Amino acid sequence: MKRSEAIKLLESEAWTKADAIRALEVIDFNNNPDELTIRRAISNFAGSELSHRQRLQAAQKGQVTKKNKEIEQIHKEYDVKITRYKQELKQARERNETELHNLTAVNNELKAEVRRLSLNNDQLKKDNISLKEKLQNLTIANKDLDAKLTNTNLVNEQLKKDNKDLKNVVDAIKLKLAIEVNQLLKYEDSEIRKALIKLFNSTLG
Amino acid sequence: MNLNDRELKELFELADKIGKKRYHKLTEQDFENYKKFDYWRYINGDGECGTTQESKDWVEKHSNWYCPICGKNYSATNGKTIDHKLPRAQYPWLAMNFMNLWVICQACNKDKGEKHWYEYEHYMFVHHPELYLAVKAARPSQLLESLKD
Ligand SMILES: [Zn+2]
Repeated sequence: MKRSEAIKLLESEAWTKADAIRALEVIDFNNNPDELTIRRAISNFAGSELSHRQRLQAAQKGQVTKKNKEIEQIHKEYDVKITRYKQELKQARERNETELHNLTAVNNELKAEVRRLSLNNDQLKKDNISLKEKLQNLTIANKDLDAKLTNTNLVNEQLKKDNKDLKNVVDAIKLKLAIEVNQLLKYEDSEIRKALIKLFNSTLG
Repeated sequence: MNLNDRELKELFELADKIGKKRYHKLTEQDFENYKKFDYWRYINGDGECGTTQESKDWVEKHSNWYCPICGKNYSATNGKTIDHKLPRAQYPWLAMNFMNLWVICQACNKDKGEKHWYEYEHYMFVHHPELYLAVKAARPSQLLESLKD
C-alpha cells in the first residue's frame, strides 16, 4: 500500500489528514506494507493520541466551565455595575436638569440686569457728557473770574498805595506850610502875624 | 460835598480821615502780611513768649547805645524797640520790609504811635523842634517813593 492510499484509508475512517500523516511516520513505505502492518503500526499512535486528546478535552472542558463561570460572574458584576451606573446617570441627569433650570433662571435674571445696566450706562454716558460740558463752561467762567480777581487785586494794591501816597502828599504840604509859616512869623506886622498864626494852627492835626 | 465852603483845617481833617483807612481789615492777604512781623519778632508769633534770636540779632546789628531820635541811653528809656517807620497797620505790605524797620527807644516809639511819616515829622517840628532834624534824617524816602510805582 502506498502512503497516499494509507492516508485516504484513515481519512475514510474519520481521521484528520494531519493525524494520519503523523501516525504513518513510523512506517517505511518502501517495503510496500499491507493493511494489517499499517493498522498494527497506527494502533499505538491511536491509543496514546486518543487518551491524550481525551485528557486535553477534559482539561479544556474544565477550563471552559471555569471560564463560563467567570464570564457569568463578570456578567453579573457588570449587570450590577451597569444598573448602578444607570441609576447614577439618571440621578446625574436629574441634577443636571435642575441645575440647568436654575442656571437658565439666573441667566435670564443676568440678562435683565445687563439690560438695566446698559440703559443705566447709556444714561450715565449722557450725564457725563452733559457734566463735561458744564465743567468746561465752569472752567472757562472760573478762568474769567480768576483773571478778574487778579485784576481786582492789582487794582486794589494800586489803590492802597495811591491812597497812602495822597495822605503823605497832604501831610508833606502841611509840614511845608508849618515850616514856611514858622519862617514868616519872624516878621513884625501884627495883622499878617494874626493871619499866619491862624494858618499855622490850621495845619495842626 | 462843597469843598469851597470848608475851612483849611476841615479840609486837612478830611484828607486825614481818608488817608488813615486801615487796609489790613479789608483783605486776608493784608492781615497775613501784618502778622508776618509778629512771627519774625516773637516766639510762635506771641509777644508773651519772648523775642526770637533772629530778631534780637537784627536789633543788635542795627542799633548802638543811644536812641536815634531823643539821643538818650536806652537804659534810661525802658530799652530798645523795633518801630515801623510807616506803621504796619496802615502799610501791611511793608510789615517785613527791613528798610521800614528801625530801632528807637520805647518812649519815642510810644510818642510816634500810629502816625504816618510826614504827620510824624510835622508833629516833631511843632512839639519837639530840637529833635526835628534827627527825625527828618531818618525819612524813608525810598519807601515813600515806592508808593508812586
Ligand atoms: Zn528816644
